[in-house]
Amino acid sequence: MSATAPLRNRTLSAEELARRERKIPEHYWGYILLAPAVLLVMALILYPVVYSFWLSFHSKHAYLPITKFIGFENFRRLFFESEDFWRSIELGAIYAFGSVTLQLVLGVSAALLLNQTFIGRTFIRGVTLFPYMVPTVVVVILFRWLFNDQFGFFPYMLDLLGMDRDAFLWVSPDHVMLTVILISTWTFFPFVVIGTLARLQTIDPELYAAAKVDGAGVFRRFIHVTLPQLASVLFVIVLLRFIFMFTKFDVIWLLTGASGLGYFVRTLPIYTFTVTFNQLQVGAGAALSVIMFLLLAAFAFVYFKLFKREENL
Amino acid sequence: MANVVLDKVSKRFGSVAAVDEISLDMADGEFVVLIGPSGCGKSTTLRMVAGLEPVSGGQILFDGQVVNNLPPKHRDIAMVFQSYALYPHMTVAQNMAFGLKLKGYPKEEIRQRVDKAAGLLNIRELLGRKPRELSGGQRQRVAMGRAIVRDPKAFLFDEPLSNLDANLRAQMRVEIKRLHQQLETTVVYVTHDQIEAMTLADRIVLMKNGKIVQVGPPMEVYDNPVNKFSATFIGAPKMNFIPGRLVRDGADGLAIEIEGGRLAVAESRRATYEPMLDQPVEIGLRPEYLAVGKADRPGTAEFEAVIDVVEPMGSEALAFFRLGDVELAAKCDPHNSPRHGERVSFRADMTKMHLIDPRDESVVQVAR
Repeated sequence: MSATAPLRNRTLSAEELARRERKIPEHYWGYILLAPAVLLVMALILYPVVYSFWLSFHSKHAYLPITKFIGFENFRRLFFESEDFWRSIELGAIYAFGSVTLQLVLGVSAALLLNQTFIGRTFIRGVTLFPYMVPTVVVVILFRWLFNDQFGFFPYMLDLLGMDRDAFLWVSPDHVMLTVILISTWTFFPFVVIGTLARLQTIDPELYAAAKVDGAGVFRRFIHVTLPQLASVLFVIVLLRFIFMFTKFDVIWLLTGASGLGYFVRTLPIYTFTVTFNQLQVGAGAALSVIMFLLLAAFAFVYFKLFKREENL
Repeated sequence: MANVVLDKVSKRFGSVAAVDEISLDMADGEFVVLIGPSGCGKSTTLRMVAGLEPVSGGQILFDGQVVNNLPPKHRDIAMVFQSYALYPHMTVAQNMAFGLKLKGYPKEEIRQRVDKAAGLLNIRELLGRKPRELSGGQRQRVAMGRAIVRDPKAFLFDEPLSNLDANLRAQMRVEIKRLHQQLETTVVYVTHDQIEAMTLADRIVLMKNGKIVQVGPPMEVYDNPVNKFSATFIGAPKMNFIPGRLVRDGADGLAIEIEGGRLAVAESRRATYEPMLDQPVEIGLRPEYLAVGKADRPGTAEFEAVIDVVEPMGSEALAFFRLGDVELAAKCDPHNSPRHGERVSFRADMTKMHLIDPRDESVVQVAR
């Protein structure tokens, strides 16, 4: 009977109390359990970022064991002695603005269409997402053929339209930027469609009914009901798409690679790659990536400042 | 202001008739409430009147003019929605002014109208705010303000109070009624809440499965339901239904034999009920016509039952009890109500009963 006395009635001996004290205090458990995640983030994100900042202040060759601290020399050279650098920023901006604008126009239009009721809508909605699911390598190889001077579909279309196909070579110095923008638009516009369509479906149909009763036609309903409702999601989509496109590497590189044509679409990420791995100047490459990072941070900052108020709609 | 006429109006979705040839004549300035369970076609009917839903058959007339093919903006109506449907990016004033602006009214007149409507609804201090900064009740007012500034031929309300809590709903109900008394505009009001229908309507239109079951002033529908559905839907607490059999009572009297008793039919109703003799019937009797006590006056009948639950509600109490399989309720004095388990006598006011024919659930109509 006495052996099964309730636990809470048992008085604790001094020794037992001391042992309890030695246990890890509860709040430390929080840190201990968080530690793996924190370590993972530090190792996988923080370390590379810090390392690339560190590298950007050094002269470092890719193969030769030379590492020399040179302060801001990498940046100075880029800013004041490199035409290629400024050109890459310009091309990068053209590419990002161009492709984001087209993606937005195409994506929002497609979403508006897909939000209508028609037979086979679910199927078409699925098909619309295809471009985003096809690996970029495949996309670029496909488009290379579609744009091919001799056998391609697009030059053939120029023929049909009665235009001189040789006067408009898609993959040529004059038009390669346009071609890259078109390919990128095709590949990435489904991203805009998904976000926009999801938002469109949550718009209260009574808002449209109210606008109809108020006397708003199709155009006014779009301006006064649809657009304001889309503002918040478009805000995020544009921000993300711009960051993605400004750092986009694969589409451009796969289409033009290290070929001479690449010179005409040498955006900032491509330029960074060439400096790092063709010219083997790792330090300068790191400086370029730091610049890219700071540019995007500045862009995001200004963007938020300008449009933040739209967010809480 | 206008009189609105529905002439055999139908709405079909594929082979399903959501609204089935309903005809209704709404007088200028009348407050008509469409009520019924969900899916009865009341909202669809309203949307057809608004012009938001094309009509599959029949005609809708405003002041004698067929408006079937007129878009909403040309029908000169204003609508208040369940979700309020305020434009979130516009201020209250802009929301109210939007329709007038699209119609091309001069700025000064818009301002005056908005100001007048805002005064009427006590929302002047909200004019500069955005909808998200408003409470549910305030949004409701703004939605009504947006309708009022239009000075329309008819107001259409689509379950406008459903998103409000009980207190606010009661308050807005009174306000809508007051507003209608001031504006004297035709109102078509859709709800599934029978209290709103009873309190607001000049006439109730009770619908079921796309058809009109009964039309009439609230108290008339309440007192003389045409069938069991109508009797059940209108009135709270709900009407009692007691199954029984109509039998001969004495030489020329009638009585209804129910579980545990016999209720003599009031003399005034004998002739009407005579044809149902020896048939199964159902008695419909509202809780207020059942009282604790003896059948000590003409036209009343008595039976006994054991009290199950008593619900005191302040001004009255409801006593629930069972007769066989059916649960019944009686209104009683909250200060002097019977207790659980007590066996008491109930007095049924047989002059207020409804005799329901179980075959088609119609109420045998008594000459009035």
